[in-house]
Amino acid sequence: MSMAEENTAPRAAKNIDAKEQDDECVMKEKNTQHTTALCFSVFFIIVGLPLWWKTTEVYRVSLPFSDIEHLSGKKIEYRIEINVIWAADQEKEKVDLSTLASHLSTVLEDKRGYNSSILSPVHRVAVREAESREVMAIQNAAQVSDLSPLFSTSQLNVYNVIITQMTQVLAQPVIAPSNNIFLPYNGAETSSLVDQIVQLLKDVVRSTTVSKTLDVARGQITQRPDKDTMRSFRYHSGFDVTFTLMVPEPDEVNVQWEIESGVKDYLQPLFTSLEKYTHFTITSQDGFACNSIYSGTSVPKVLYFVSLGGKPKKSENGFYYEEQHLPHVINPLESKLGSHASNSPSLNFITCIPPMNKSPLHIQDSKGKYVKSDAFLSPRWGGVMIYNIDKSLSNKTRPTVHLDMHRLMEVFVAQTRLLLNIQAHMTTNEVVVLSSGSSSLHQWEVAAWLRCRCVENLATSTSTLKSLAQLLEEIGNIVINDEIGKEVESAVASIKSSHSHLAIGNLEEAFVASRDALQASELAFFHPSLLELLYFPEDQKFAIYIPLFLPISIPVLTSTVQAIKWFRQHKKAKVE
Amino acid sequence: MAAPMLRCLLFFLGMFFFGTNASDEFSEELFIKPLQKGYVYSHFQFTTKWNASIHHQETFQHYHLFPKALGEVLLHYDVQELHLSQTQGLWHHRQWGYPIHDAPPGAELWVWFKPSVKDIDKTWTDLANAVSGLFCSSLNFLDSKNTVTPRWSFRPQGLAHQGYAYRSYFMRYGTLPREIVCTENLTPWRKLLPCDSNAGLSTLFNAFHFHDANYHSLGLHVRPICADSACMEEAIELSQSLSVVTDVVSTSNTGAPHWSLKSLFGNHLVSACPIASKSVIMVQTANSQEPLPYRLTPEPTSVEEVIRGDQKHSFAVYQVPSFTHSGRVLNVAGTYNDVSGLQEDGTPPPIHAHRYITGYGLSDGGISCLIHSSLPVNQSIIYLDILPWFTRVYFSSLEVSNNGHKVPFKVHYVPAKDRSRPHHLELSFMLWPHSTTRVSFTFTRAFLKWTEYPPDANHGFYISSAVITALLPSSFGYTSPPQESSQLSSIFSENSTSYLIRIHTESLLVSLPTPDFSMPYNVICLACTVLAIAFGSMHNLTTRRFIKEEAKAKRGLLTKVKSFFTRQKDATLSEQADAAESADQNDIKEKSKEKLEASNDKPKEGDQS
Repeated sequence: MSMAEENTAPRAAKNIDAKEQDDECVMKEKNTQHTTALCFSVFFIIVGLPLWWKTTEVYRVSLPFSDIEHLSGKKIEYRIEINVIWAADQEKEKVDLSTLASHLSTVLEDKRGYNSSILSPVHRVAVREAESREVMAIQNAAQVSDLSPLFSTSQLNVYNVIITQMTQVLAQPVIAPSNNIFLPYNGAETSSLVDQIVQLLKDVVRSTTVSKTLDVARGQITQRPDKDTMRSFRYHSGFDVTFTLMVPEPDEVNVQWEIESGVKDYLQPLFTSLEKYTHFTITSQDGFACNSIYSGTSVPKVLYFVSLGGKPKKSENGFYYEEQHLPHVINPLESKLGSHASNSPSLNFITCIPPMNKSPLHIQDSKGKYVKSDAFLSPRWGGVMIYNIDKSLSNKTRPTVHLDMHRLMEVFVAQTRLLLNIQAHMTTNEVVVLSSGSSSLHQWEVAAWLRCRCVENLATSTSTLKSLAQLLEEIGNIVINDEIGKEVESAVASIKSSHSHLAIGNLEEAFVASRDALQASELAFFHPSLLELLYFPEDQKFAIYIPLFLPISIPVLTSTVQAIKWFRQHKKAKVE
Repeated sequence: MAAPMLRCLLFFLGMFFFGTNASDEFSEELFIKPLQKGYVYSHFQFTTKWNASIHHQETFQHYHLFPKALGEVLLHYDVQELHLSQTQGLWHHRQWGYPIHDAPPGAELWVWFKPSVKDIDKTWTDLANAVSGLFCSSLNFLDSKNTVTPRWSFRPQGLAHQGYAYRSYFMRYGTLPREIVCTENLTPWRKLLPCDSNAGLSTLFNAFHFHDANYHSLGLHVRPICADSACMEEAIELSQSLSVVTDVVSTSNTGAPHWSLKSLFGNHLVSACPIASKSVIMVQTANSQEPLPYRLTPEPTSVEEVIRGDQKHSFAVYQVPSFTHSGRVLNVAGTYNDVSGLQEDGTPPPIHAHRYITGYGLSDGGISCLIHSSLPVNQSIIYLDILPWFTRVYFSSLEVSNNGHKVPFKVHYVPAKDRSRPHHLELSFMLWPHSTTRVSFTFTRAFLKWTEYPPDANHGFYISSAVITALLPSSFGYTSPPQESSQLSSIFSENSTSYLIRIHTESLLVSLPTPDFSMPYNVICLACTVLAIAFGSMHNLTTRRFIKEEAKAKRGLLTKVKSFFTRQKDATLSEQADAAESADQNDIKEKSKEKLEASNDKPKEGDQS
């Protein structure tokens, strides 16, 4: 601003002009300054914030949360096909087959169980008359097992109910190994016949067990678990089966057992019928440490264990353990049984030879009676059998005793079935279950087992995924890497495919898919990388952020506020 | 050179083995050797021989005496041979001679895997984890940073094909010199014994006495051996050993060097393990024909004399069952007649070594190992040294010298990779008669990342023991059983002429440059300060107006307040002027403005408020 200019212009105008010019200049300068301040803040918002966000972000692959949510509420449907074959020719006029069919399907639909909102069996009933050769075969059959191949089906979800005449062979209902039920017709009304069929189907299909399994797997009855569900293992892809012989006094008696052949003859058929679905590793060992649970042997160490209560009581004809003391018997054995190479749960079967001065040794149940088999089962752990040696042998010096494998294996097969949740208990009276001659499972038993395990796996994997989703929601620090993402995706896909297979009756495929789902979901849930950032302390974050942001954020913020204020005022002034 | 010769001899498996094919066999032995200066060396040897092949999958389905927990590990990780030692204290070869199983301080694990194993490194890691679970030790820290594949030093100890044993491809060796051995390692180790500690020699186990000792070492060795002398069938041998060196003089109440089972282990022996086929206590009475300086009670069952090479060894043997039947107890005791000779230094064994750190300061250092030989002939040895990656070895500085003369050597050297592989140095050279050979090299210390330091960083970092392997022509001071069996009583029937020794030297402790661990916060603070200064000044420059203070000197407080108000008044006035456009007011303003401008164009923040 020059003074010369001022002088040439008229005074008032000159004054106004100069002031305006001056104002304009100041304004311009201020404008630039506030613009820079705004630029700073814009720069920090556009570049700084995303950069900070990106560099401190917890890596997470997007997971199908909506699918998981949907699956956890999804109803499980499984399909069962029932073929009723009418082979009672003489009594044909008494029952109308179409009425029977419709009646049967209505009754079956009604009996869906109390938790039909999450689990429902879909029954398809077909009724037909037997072909004449079938009728002939039934009439001429010498025994029921001859008939099984005639009606056999390889499909696990198809059940044949063959209604026959009362013959000598078929005097009462018979359940044959391959999903066949032979029901001799006693001339009853349609409704009572239907009731009879439904009752038999209940035993064979075991729909109540299925729904109970589901409830347990969903954790709905954890408050009051019942014995059945507590006893058996959940599904695992492998089990280590260990047979242990405990000899407390190897110097007194020489015990021999042919466990390898025993397992092969008695237990292997059972494992073979399940080997497609789960893997069993069988090992056996002889132990010499059994004395640790008894008192009074020559080894001083034993006194140490007396306080545990593993001391059998004496009665007039031997010694006995009371039921409530049995847990103390097992505890000292545990240390000899563990495995360091396998992650599968183990089924332990222990045969204990009581020491001479404590035999015969028995187990007393809660009613005060001796248990016939001298054996007991520990839930989800295994079984223990006390094998009493004939007392008369003790006169000899170091007698050799060969253990009776039949006696041992009888007990262990029964215990294995209980531990694996294969129940033999029938609700119907007067029904004959045809045995296959070995411990191998019947087709209908396998089908029922698969159905239970499939439903259980589905429920478990769904709830695992749901918990994972919940966990991620609650804890922001959990990293989800690509691998976990992939596992979750595959688990969801497997659950979906298992659902659809179940609904159309492909039991085996449904089971395999559910197994995959279970494995994938467990892998995702227990992945070690989940914990990586979990314990990063919050206070350390502040220790880093506060000194980093304070010197920048305070000046930028204040100048931005100033700038905004100024621009707003400026705008107002202009409008006026 | 030396290596092939050793290799051939190591394969040699003797013909002396008595056993039956019928079932497993278990033997328990206790070897006691009184040492100079009132030390007593006791070695428990438990040998389980399982007449089955380690190569057959079906073997591991039925267990009798062999522990199942271990068998499952062997099967699962395709192990052919496993050698584990956990040791507390240092074995003084110079004074004590050679132990039965030499072991370095800390933990040592070496394993031969079967050729069927796919990924050896992964299997090794998994195996180390499983074994650490089995024995409650920290072997899971055996990662690639402290694992090597020695080329010459280690050969299969049991049966192996020539082609398999020739290359070390399937072998892994790792040590943890920092590992501390305590009762929690003893308990799982003891559980593997068929009699546990309920009966037999293992009833003498007393953790209090063991951990009070100068040296104690737990060993576990699994290897395939010949089932019988014809060697047509394989067997698996599990050898479990526990060595203790007790300072009797300082632990006894009387200060006398007399020892007994009771004074060594706090207990008498009450029973033999009923399963054991052999239950023996052996006392080494003399190395030569000198008369015994002490009296043994009770009288031994027999006295065995054996000539191993040039040396005669004699042992007093106690068959335990004959002493403990019908409730009697056995307390083997040695009472000295004359204590004067005990304080002298004994004759050192043919080869012994001493290894130490050289140099000073925190940047450079070196390692020297003095290997003494008192043999009358040249002796070839293999020297193995494993150094962590952060001691960067100068290979050019490697030197083997004997009394100033350079010794020719053959070398296998694998340099380290930072954070993934240790330095692996193997040398093979001759020890000249009656001389001391020095192996030396220098290294520089690397910087670690601050998260790589252990919790107690100023304690220092361990360097594991060097391993010296040799086949001695003399059995002086030698106690190990022959190659074909781990049972100590097989010494009586030995007829070999060379004796394999493996000496572990001292483990070393180096200190590395250790940072102040509050450093990260200092760095954060410094970075923030720099940022604040840099950014702050830039920000100020661009967003502030700078006005010059009026040159009016020394305004009093009153004038300041006055001017503050007038300024405010001015501001309000100017606003009014804008609104009403009053000429008079303009004039006043103008005047004041001119005045201001005259006094050097001073910018003012007047109307900002």
